[in-house]
Amino acid sequence: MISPILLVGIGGFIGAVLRYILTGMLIHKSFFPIGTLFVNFIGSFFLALTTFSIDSDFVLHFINIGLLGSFTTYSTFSYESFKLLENGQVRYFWINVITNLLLCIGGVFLGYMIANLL
Amino acid sequence: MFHHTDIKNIAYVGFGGVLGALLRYGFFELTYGLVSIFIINIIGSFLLGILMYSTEFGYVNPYFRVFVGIGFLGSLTTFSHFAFQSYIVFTHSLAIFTIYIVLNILFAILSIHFAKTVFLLISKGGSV
Repeated sequence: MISPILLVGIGGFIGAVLRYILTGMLIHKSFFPIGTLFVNFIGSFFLALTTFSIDSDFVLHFINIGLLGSFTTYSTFSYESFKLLENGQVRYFWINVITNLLLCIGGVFLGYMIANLL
Repeated sequence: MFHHTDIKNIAYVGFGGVLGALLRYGFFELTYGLVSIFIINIIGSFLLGILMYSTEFGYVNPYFRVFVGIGFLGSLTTFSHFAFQSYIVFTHSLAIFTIYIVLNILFAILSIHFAKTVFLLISKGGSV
């Protein structure tokens, strides 16, 4: 059996790098922070899909806690939301907050529904 | 600004990610649930706020910013577990769900605002 610490660590490495590359590719496309929204939605969907379909310590540590925990991020969401407010872009602030909540919690529901089909 | 194909940056992000994921894992081993996810996300947001305001005023090494900001704090905090636990509580109690969401959004903003205030106080004190 592989150590949970090793699995979380390797998962965390992969998740952070994937997030960095994907958000880096998306960040110049819009002044609305679409990159963070994208990784948070994808990560929330897959977390629900694996949690509701696979009962394994390997998946729990490597994928759920390590990879998907690190792939998605809250701190950047907080910072980007605050910057929209600070710049007076109140409408974009609300769009950012509401789309993150709806798509990510909706993504969990979608993952749950698909897991039930498997 | 984002040198996301630079191998050195990628390595810093990755190793920061290892540290962030392990610290979060250690904390979640002690206690996992709505409160612990909230605490870790808000502390991580505050620290990112400090880092980014320091960066904005030109005090931070770019590799350090990537290592700590994107790697460590990005991985320490998590949106997927927040969304997952919010969904679970939504299926049990709409009232607790609503309070939880409102507190999370409120403190997301307050944490960065507080970080900005603290940073401005420190830099005015001339110790930076």
